Amino acid sequence: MRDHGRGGYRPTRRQLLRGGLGGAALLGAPQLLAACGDPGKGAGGKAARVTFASNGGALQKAQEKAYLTPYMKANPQVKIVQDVGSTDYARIEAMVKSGNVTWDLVDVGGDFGTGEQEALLEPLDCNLIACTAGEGGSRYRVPLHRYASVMGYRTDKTPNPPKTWAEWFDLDAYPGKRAFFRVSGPTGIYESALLADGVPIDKLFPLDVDRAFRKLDTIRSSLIWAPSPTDTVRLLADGEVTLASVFSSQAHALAQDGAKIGVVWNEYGLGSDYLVIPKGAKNKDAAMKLAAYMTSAQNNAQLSNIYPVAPGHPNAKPDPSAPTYGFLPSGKGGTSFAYDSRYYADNQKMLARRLNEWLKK
Amino acid sequence: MTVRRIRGWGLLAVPGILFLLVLFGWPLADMAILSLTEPSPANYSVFTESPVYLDAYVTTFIVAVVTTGACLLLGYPYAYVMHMGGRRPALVLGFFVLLPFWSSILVRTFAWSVWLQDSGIVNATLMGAGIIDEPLPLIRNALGTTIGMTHVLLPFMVLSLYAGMRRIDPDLARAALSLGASPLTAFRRVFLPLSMAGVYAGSLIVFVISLGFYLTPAVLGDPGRPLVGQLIVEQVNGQLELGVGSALGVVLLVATLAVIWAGTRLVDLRTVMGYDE
Repeated sequence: MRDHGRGGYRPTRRQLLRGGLGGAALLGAPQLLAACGDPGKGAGGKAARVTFASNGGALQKAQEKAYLTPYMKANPQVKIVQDVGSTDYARIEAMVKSGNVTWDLVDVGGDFGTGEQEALLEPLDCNLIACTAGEGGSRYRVPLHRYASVMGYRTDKTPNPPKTWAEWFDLDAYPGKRAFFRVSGPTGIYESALLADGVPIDKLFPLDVDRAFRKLDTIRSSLIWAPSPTDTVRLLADGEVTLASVFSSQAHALAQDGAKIGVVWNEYGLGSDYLVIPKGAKNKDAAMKLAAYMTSAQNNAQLSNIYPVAPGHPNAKPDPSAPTYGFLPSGKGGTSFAYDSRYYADNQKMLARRLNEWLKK
Repeated sequence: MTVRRIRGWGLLAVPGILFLLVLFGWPLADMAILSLTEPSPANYSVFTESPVYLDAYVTTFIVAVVTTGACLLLGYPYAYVMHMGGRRPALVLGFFVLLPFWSSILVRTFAWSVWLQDSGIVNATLMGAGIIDEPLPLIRNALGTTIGMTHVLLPFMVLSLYAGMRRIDPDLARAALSLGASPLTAFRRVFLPLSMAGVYAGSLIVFVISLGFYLTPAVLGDPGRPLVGQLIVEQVNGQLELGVGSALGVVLLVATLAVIWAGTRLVDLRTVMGYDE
């Protein structure tokens, strides 16, 4: 899963290339891009330089404002360079395997950085970084922020929104179409179906995929599969669907633009983004220090005050008076579950195949 | 003859050839190697694991054929008017055919979704006028993909056809008319056969580009019937399976070459390249 809780429509650049020119010839492109990158300076000198890669769009702008600018102000000898496309994990793999690593610190989704992918990453200095304080953290990745997939609805058309996924799946109570983001990763497709079918919220993992698809069968003809997370919200805003499973951050973005979109804080899924350092990163010591700053209990919530994602560190506290607070997946009533990123990492091939086959039926 | 005369000038092509070798030939070879070594040739066994993959190739080729046909139907009259209408209409029509190139394919594809979706402009207008009760299924199916792809690819067809038509000696049709042929006969017996080189060239270009489409079918197409390009992206970016993605790419390449080869059994490739004397 790629574009969770993020700013703009991420795949733009890649899709432009692939759409216009045909995918086959471009599969070699990551190596070429990597080869053109800036070699950077060694971490040995006094002046340090870190290349931070994130996912572009509103999220990365907010990260710059929340973390990078204050960090550079406090550490004038450090120069942070930014790049985008951090969830094109193929690029990380290509960099590491070609020995030309141009990224030092990378914001990745929960489906990256466990299991055999650890071989692509530098072990973190857990004396410096609170590696395992938050959900899903390890020696190879530290939680950065948490996003939520929630029930989204039109405030003007559904005055009495569903409170549970069972109600969300009830076509009699809520006629009309529903949108999911078409991706096999941790965005809540299986979990919402299982919750709707009566699986207890603390017994979701390992996922009973057969049962989830049987439940999805019951609303198959009313489902619209959005090509991007942004589209799940846009379909709501356009009136194309009655209900949608959305990322709260993107619902917030459209609600800010005046769309009449609300979210229900119950039975919502929590996923995390993590910071990783690719193996062979040229400025890994400086990257380690920046990672420690961004994920510490005192600084981690700075992002949440300007962008609606929750801190990755459990002791970081967002400001309740910030305008983003209503869309933040923290400090809310209602039940929630965490996406088991290890389960997704181990089963993503099976999940992708099953979803494709189910959609084809 | 002609070929010998230009030999000294052949050096001019060297930068272009090098460019293609380095930026196209090498990645292509790399892709073929990856498909066999990342981790093993077992990458190709995805085709036996799930019917999704083979079906995607069938869908992709059908969509490519239909898109090519749609481009030809729309493009031929357009190019014909450009050719026959004189300088000014040719300029104006040429401008409009090039216009889409200056806006992003992403923007255009999303614009189509605004037109075609159930609550979109087309359906809202038709329902508002009382012509239909239920929205027409214009999006999230093969029709949506074909409309979007035809829009993107039409310029390639029109420009190929127009280039082909410009090579036709206008005196030939005039001669046919002066010998008593009706305008229709002159078109059918003289102009149309001579314009076939452009038809083949345009069709080949549109067909081949169609095979690699990713964005348009993702936004406008049937989620249950992905094209090969979508599955490749899913493998490479979604699952980090560079080997499987490469294998899908190699098979697409081989299948495409096979189709072109079969095409050359029917059509002399030299016609397409404009070497017909």
